[in-house]
Amino acid sequence: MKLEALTVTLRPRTSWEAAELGMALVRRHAGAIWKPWLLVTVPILVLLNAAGWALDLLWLSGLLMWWLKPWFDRIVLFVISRAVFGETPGTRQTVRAQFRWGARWWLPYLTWRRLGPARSLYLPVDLLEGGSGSEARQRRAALGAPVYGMCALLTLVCMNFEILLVIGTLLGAMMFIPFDYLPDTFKALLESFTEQSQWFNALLNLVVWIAVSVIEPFYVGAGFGLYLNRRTDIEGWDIEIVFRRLRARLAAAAAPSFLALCLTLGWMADAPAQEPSAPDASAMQAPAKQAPPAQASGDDEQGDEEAYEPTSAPIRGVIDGKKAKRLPSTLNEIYGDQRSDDRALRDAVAKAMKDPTVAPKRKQTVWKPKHEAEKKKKDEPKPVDPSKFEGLGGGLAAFAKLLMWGLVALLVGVLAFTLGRWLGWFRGGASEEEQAPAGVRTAVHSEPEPLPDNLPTAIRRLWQAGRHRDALALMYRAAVESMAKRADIVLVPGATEAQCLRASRKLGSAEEREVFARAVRTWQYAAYAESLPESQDFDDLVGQLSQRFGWAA
Amino acid sequence: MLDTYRHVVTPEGVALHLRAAGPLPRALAYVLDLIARIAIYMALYQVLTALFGGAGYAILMLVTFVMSWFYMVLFEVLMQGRTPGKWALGLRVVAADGAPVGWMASFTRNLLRVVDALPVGYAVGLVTSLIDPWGRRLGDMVAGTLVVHAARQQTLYEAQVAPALAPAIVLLQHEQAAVVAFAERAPRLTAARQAELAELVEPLTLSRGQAAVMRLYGIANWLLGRR
Repeated sequence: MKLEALTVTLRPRTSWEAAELGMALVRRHAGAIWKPWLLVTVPILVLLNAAGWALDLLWLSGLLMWWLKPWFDRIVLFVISRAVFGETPGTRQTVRAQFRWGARWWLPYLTWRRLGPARSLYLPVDLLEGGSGSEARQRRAALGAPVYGMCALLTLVCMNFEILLVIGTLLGAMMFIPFDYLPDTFKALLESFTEQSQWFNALLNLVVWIAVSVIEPFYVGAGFGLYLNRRTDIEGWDIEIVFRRLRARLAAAAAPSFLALCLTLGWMADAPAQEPSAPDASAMQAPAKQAPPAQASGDDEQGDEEAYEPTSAPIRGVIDGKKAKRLPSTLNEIYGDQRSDDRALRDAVAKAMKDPTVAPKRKQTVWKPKHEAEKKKKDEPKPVDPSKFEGLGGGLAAFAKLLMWGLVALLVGVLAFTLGRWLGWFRGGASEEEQAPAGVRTAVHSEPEPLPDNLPTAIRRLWQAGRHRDALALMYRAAVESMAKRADIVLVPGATEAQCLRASRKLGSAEEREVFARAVRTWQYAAYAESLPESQDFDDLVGQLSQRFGWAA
Repeated sequence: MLDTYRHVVTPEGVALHLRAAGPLPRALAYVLDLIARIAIYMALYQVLTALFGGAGYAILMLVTFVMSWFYMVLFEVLMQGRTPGKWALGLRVVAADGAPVGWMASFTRNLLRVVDALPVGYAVGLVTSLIDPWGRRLGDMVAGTLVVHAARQQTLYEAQVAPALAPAIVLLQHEQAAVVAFAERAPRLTAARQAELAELVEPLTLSRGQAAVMRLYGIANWLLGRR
């Protein structure tokens, strides 16, 4: 048994998940399982039923087919027990194996073990481990005792699944019978059932065989999953696999660098094993290289932590949202007198709505003859005539019916009309088949390039080359950096324009503040409103900036 | 490598393993829910007929309607995807990306029980969940949901305490995990098996038998930071 060749992931699982693993295994090797299954079971089914028909003992054929289930189980077990080690057997190989494999266990499993509720777990124990009498008994007890109840439950559920599929197949077939023929069909079926007619029994045998063929492989698979899980649990298979691979890796690594290993072993008592190590073996081939003293690595970590810790941020923090709200808006600061208030617009809209030509109102006076008005008042309640109400009731009912159908029509209409709107809800639910992102980007953000030495020239060159946005971006970045340096503050990574502006209040001279605000405003107009400054204005701004912030002219 | 979970990567780049549940536990959970509902119906029948007499039947009909359509939905949405039956079996309904299940999805998947229950007793749902690698029935596929084994409070085993010992060789991450797992689980294995496992990594322990086991415990303790 080569555990390294295992094709399933082993880890301690709950029993249900172990059964899940076994069923996944059956699903994965469906072709290799069901082809030999059909090749073996169909001839037996046909033979038994033909014999039963001839002898008028079809119920016995059905019973025998059911009784032989453990014998058929070996097909599934043979395939998955080999497939799990990556050697999926071919159809022919599997079929041939059925005549000899595990011959010793045919008798127990077809007689006194046939009705045992833990068959699905014991079958792999006996057939795969192949111990002698008492040894096998011990193995069964060791593996089966804690999960015996689970096995029984598994058998019970699978039995119910089979019954369900039998009834489901019969009723499903009946769904295709036209409604008018249904009563006759039911009568005929009931008669055949009570009379135990030949064709009905043969049909039943066939349907039971179909149900068994669907469920039984999964049943065996689930039992095999439990078996694997038990062995993982009590023998540490998952640990063994990793240990074997580790040993192989070390052996491969040891050959070229044996000498180095011998030399370094003495000093390496404190080798840092928990350093994030590259997953490739090549890095491991030279253990000497990877042996910086543990103290050093600890220092490194500390250094890193310090680097990440925000040292001092005198500007508004991102976290304290409540405080931030109380601070005045910076909009006016940025846009100055150019900021247009939309109050005028709202006033104009309200005014326009008041205009009588937009929403006209009209008063209408009508003359009515006097006697008509008096006549209405005079109408007295007449004695009630119930016969009238019958007509009324009928009318009302017809009206209500009409109303109801109208509502239904309306509803259908609305549903059809809004098809595009709600169909997406279902589609949206079904769209989970989309590929998950192939790989997660783990690379760190690349550091922004350092600013060029001669800033104004670089910015103007970009601008003249038609790369206006790049020029503006460089200008803004340089302005922020110069400002931060001048004001002697550290900006948080990803500081917003407003934060930069607020930080710029620390600048010494009013001119510097003003020109920085202008740079920010120009950048914001370009970035968010896509309105680029005039070439001349921009040139002027760059000139002012380089003058104020002392960029190399 | 074949495994039973569904691998989902969240937008934050976190890999989630949703341990999909197949038809076996789900059928049992459904049966438990069914029993719970029948018990509720019977109790209501007694109470309502005693209180309102004939009118009690009408109320019972209404309650039956509400229960049959909303029992599952309400539990699934309000109780983190768990009906009482699913809770008993340690199952949960989640969206296919691992998010909590919403009203729309839950209602869709429970509305489609009508289809899955065809022709009798969820035969269609059974066959689809046998075929589907994530054990979903048709309702789950349409609603974009998944029934998963919820993480249970598991008995945790403390790793065996031993004097810490630095490994002579740099171990990869999964190998470190295996060594720690050995220290956690080996005390429950037989002594012979412990030694057999420990001797597999002789280049690491440079010893055999019980000494190898102890050295592995020591390495595990070192890895766990018990110094």
